[in-house]
Amino acid sequence: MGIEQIVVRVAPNGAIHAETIGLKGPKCLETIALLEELLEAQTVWSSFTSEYDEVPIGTQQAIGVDDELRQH
Amino acid sequence: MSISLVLIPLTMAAVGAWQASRKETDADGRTVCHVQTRMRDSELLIAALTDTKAAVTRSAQTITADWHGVRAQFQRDSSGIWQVDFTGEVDEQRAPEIVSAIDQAYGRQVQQTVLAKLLDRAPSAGMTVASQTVEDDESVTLVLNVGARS
Repeated sequence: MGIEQIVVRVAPNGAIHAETIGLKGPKCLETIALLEELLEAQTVWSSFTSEYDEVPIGTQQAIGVDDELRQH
Repeated sequence: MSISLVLIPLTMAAVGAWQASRKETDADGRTVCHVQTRMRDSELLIAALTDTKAAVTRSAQTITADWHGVRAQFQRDSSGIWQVDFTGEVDEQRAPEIVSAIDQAYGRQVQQTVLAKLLDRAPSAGMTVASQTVEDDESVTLVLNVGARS
């Protein structure tokens, strides 16, 4: 698994910009709720990038194992 | 990058900025300049007013700030956002200038509060601070490693 980071920039007017690095799929949505809770803030704008649609390697392996188990 | 977000702290109204000044006359014939702010938190407002060198007094429903010749009386509107009436040596041009100064001081208070919360709460969310940088525009950037999160 690659590095997973959240970059949070807090402006002097109080506005917050956050970007995730290396977080794929559903983990992105979890990040929104996590940041809203941690920062006591409300998301007013969001944008998904191509990385969101990528399937984490760990998930691919898990699905494969699951499928194999069902066949037996 | 997988997601990009803009968040507004709950201590601020999610409107772009404070609203323009509206001039009225009160029952005593004094000119009152009314301005709607974006500020919600009373403690941060008091701290911001103090930063602007105001003499601040607080009662149950209002916060009053006095500078030389100008008085600002803050009250919450129906949605909990502070609105302010200026009296004294103030007009429709001066009132927004004063609110702008208070708004900037409030923003800095919110910034410090947000950063303190993040630094305090990140470890319990399984995150560690990889770096903290103050930018040229006085923004503060925190890079958080989330590898430890389950």
